[in-house]
Amino acid sequence: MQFLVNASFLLLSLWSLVDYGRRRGSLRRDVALLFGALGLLGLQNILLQELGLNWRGLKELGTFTLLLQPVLLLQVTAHLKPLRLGLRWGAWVAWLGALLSLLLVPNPLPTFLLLAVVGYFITLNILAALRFFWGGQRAGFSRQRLAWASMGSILFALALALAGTLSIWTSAPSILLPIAQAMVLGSSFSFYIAFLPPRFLIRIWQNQLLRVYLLRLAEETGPLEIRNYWRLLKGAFDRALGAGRMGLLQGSTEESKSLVPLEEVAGVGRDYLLPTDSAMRKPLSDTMPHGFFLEEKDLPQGWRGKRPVESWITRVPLSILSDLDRLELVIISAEPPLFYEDEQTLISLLVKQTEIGLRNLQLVEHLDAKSRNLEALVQELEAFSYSVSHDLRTPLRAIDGFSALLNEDYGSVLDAGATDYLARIRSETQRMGWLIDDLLGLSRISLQDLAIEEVDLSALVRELTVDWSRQAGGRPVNVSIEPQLKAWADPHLTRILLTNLLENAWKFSSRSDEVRVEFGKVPEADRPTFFIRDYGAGFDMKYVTKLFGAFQRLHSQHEFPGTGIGLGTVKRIILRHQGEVTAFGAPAHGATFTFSFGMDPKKGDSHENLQHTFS
Amino acid sequence: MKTSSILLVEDNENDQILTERAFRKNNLANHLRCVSDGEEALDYLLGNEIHPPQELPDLILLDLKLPKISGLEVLRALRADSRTSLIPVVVLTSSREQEDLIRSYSLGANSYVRKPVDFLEFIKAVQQLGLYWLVLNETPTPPG
Repeated sequence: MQFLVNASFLLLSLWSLVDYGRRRGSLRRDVALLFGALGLLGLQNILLQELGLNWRGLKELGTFTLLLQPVLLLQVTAHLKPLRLGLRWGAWVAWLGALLSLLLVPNPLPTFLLLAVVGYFITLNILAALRFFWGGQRAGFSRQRLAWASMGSILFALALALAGTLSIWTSAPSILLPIAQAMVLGSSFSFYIAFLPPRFLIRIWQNQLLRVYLLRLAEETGPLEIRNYWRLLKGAFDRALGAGRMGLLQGSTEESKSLVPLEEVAGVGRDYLLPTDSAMRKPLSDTMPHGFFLEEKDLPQGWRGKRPVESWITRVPLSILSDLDRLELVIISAEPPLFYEDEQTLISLLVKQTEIGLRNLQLVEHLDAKSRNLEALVQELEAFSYSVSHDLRTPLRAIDGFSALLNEDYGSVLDAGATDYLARIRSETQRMGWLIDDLLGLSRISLQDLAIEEVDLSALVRELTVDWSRQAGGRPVNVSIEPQLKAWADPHLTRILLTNLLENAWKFSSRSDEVRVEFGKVPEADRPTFFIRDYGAGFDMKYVTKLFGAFQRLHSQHEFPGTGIGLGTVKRIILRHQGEVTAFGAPAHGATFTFSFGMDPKKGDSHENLQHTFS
Repeated sequence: MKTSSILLVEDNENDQILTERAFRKNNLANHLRCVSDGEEALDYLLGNEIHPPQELPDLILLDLKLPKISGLEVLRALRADSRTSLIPVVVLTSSREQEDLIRSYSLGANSYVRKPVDFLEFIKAVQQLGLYWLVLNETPTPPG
């Protein structure tokens, strides 16, 4: 037990020395001194008791270093709360008194002197505990750590009180010694947590804080505004570091340097600065050539702290805004650096999260602007197609009408060639009328909102082909339909889709001896895929890419009449459903069209989902 | 067959000629009157400060796209006036935009016919239209 106590102090001192070696700072120095003294005591005890060495002065050295503990502890607390001069001197005088009495007065000490020395330890340790406690009343992780420091001091004081009691009360129960040792051990553990916490513990604290921050970000219900981000970020830093003030430092030269308080940074992106894509992707470390911490003299006047303790400044480049030479988030914290140097990772994480949030903000703005544009475009298109629908057909009617009248009124004086021309004019005019109608239909498919529901495709195909036998003019009609095939789709558009595909199949079977069409489901497809197969004229796979373009026709008007918009319409409808449509065929061997719908019954139109997500 | 009067509201001269011709072809043109914009139509039917209203027709054929006052506004005004609220109005127009159809019917149109490009089809349509609205259909006598 005794060895454990000594070893723990020794380890603590070594670790604090390493820590000080890694990052120099007055607080770390004082912590290293404190633990160094305790470590020397541990070393002395190990040499003396475990190894049996009895060098001259070894015992005195132990006494000397032990006596230093309360003074050095008090010195550490000075970094949290300024130490009044009287207190400082009082502690040193008490130390000197205790030292002299232990060195000069022969053993055993008179009880009153022993009590005085123990009192010195207890008083100063309790005082330090209280100062740790008050110092830790600020926000931040330091609070947790200072609570441990406070506990360490109290345990140390209690252990010494017990040890003092033991040296006076000779017939004390033997259990008291291990209790005192356990207390010292606990104290050393508490100091370890307080001043040299293990990395995993730091990570846990940081993750907790980050979680709180993210939750608050997520719970933010108000309008997505940069102000909210700043507020939350400030809150998070305050909880982590006890941050006093925050601002954005911009400009690299002394004259141009300015610090905008965070609450005055009204916008981001378009409103404030325009980040470039590359700047957005730049990792935090690349944009930090000057280190994490800023000298106070680097701050613009007015931001330089006049605080009882030093103000500690940390800066983090905001990469989202970093297309400027230098734009950094400056956090001014009143905590000593020991308590936030460890938090570099956390600072980076918080800033990164905020950057993500700000980027989302920009994206939302961007999307808003885009969708406003799109809406305007859709309205324009609607106006356009309305106008086409009304105005483009009027002259056609006149051309056709007067051609008809010409034929009717003057048919007797026209020869066969002239009447043929008139007939051609009328037929082309009427074709143009269909073209306009089909084009309008095509554009309406793109403009219409989707209403997704479960559509019985089999029933629809049956309905659309029910008249075929009657229309086939004696040719055998064989339509096979796989029953119960259903899909989530817009029923109106699905009807147009199937009408077009079936009309296609019908049309290209018009020169076959038999009309044979099959509708079914493609087995083993990734998602439900349906097919419509005919055994008609077919097409050459060479031209498959041209099949779905509007006005693209693979057959002459003479062979198979049509406007060439049908399959364009099919493609458009499938695209609107985020599905796929493909065609297979061979001349004289028919054609097969497969199609699928990309609609999830739970999600509906993904476009609306997107809007929902952002609203 | 009684002689019935028809008012055609149509701004396009070609359409006027062709429609007139289609009516003549079906022997319905006895009392076909033409006005060429919405304002004229309302002046004719409801009168204005200078002219009293003309004799009311038995059927109104109304184009939607008209200068000055649109066909839909004419329809609204006619339905709002007790003298004309019961006269059958057939919308005779180029488009078959859903929006036009819905608005026409909700404003009280009795029928909506889209003029086909094919003139012979148009003649057939006019024939059926005249037969239905002027011969088969019974219209109440206007109040007052």
